[in-house]
Amino acid sequence: MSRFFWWLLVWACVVWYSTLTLYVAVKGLDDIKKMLSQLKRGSGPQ
Amino acid sequence: MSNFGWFDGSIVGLYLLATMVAGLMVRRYVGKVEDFLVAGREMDLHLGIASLAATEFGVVTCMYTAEAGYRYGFAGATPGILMALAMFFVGVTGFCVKPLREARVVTLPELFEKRFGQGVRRASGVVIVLGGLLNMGVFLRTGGEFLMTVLGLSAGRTPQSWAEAHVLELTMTALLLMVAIYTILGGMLSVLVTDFLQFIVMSLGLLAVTILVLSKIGFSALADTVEAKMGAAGFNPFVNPEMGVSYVLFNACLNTAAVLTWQTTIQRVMAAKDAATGQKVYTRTAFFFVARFLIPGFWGIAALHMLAPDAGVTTLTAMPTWLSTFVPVGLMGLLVAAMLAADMSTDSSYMLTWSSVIYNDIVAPWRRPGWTEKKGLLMNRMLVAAIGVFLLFYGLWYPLKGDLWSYLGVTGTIYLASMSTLLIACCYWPRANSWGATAAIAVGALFPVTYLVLEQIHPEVRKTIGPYWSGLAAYAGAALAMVVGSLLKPGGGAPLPRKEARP
Repeated sequence: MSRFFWWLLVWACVVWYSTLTLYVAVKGLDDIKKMLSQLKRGSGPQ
Repeated sequence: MSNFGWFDGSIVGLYLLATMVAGLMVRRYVGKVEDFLVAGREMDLHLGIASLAATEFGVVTCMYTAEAGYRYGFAGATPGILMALAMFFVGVTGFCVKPLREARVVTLPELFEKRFGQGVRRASGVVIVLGGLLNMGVFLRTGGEFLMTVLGLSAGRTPQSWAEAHVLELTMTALLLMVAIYTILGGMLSVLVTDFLQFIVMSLGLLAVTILVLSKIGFSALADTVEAKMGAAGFNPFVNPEMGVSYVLFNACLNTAAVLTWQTTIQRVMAAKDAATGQKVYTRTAFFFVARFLIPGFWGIAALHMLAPDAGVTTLTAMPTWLSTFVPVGLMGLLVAAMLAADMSTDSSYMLTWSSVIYNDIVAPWRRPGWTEKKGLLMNRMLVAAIGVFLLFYGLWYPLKGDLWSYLGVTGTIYLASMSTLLIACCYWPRANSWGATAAIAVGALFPVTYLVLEQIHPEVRKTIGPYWSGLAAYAGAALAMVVGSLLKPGGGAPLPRKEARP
């Protein structure tokens, strides 16, 4: 039972972490662009 | 002999170049102190997830979680599960973090001032910086030991020159200098952008090596090794004689307190564009904390499986020693780049975080009313540099005794015990006041500091008292001190402002 629990958890980590990495890699870039443009609009580059 | 070759060196060089370029490019967007400390509060969800994950996974994390896997088997990943549960709960309910973000503060002590007065703000600042810097003190050497072992530079060599004898110190100094340059110039903006890059590189390295372990060795072989060497204790922390109830309870308290008050973690909530985004960063990053413990723990178990009993390794160096020969050329470069990414993202965030507390809560009373943003920025930059210098000396000279996770737990408890008590009372207990807060800070720091001193003088306290019971005493003592102190003083503190005033 405990072996199965840890087996499941290891594979859940691999699958979930791979998905998160791909998702954040794509969406995070948009966040950076938006953040920098907001800051540029707010105070302007120094 | 390590598998690190010229191709791997090129991957590492490319990664370092990309990080420096990204970190330095955004420095021109820093115009105000708020931009420097919390990126103008413009951070959105996905960048927040990348930054939180990258910050909370350093080489030091990889080392202590792998050590836990090597010593305790799968049961060593228990703190990760507890932390993920705590983070998910806090993210879903907004417990403490919602009022914290809505108060639009930069640090916890700033929030405490609204309820408990300026004295508590300053005292909290000192405790946070003390606990945080002691905790961070071991990062550099531990990171360096990992890199030296993986690169095959630490064992069986007679140094031919001063530089060869100090290759660890020189490498880590150069790395810290790079991190300091972009953090000093770009503050939180550089930290967020480089964290994003570092999250991707770090994740690719962690996943690639884990998949290699699963395909080449397999889960069953590793589980068989744990079963043969540890029995049920390798799977269940409650039946492990070195862990038990005190270990689980201490880690439940420690990780819940860290989720609520660890400055590098909550700084992502403060930098989020609103409270809802901050909460989402928590819920969606929660499961990462299982991976944060289980993936390197799995590597530690693989080291236990592969290394001969007479391999001449310690529990801490077993994993990197095994990795140095297991990981093939090409992937080795990605692994080293991943670990450098992990180390750099953690160092930059930690330097910025503790400097923000020093500036905001300890130096604040001496700031002149007419200070310009330019002067504020200069002061922040000088503080980041000063922390870098401290890290360099303390980090390379502190003699670590006991296991790494226990040291980090005990030093973290110096502030986690009292700050979590103050935060909960500040947000939800109207009767809480400055007497209770002051008593909680004193009692919360007393137990772990006493334990650390005793451990250096009488190492046998590790067996007679142990870090877990002393840690639990700090959490219970801080809560009790808050209740007793508050009840002794007539009247409660000022109410906490709730409404978010966003322009």
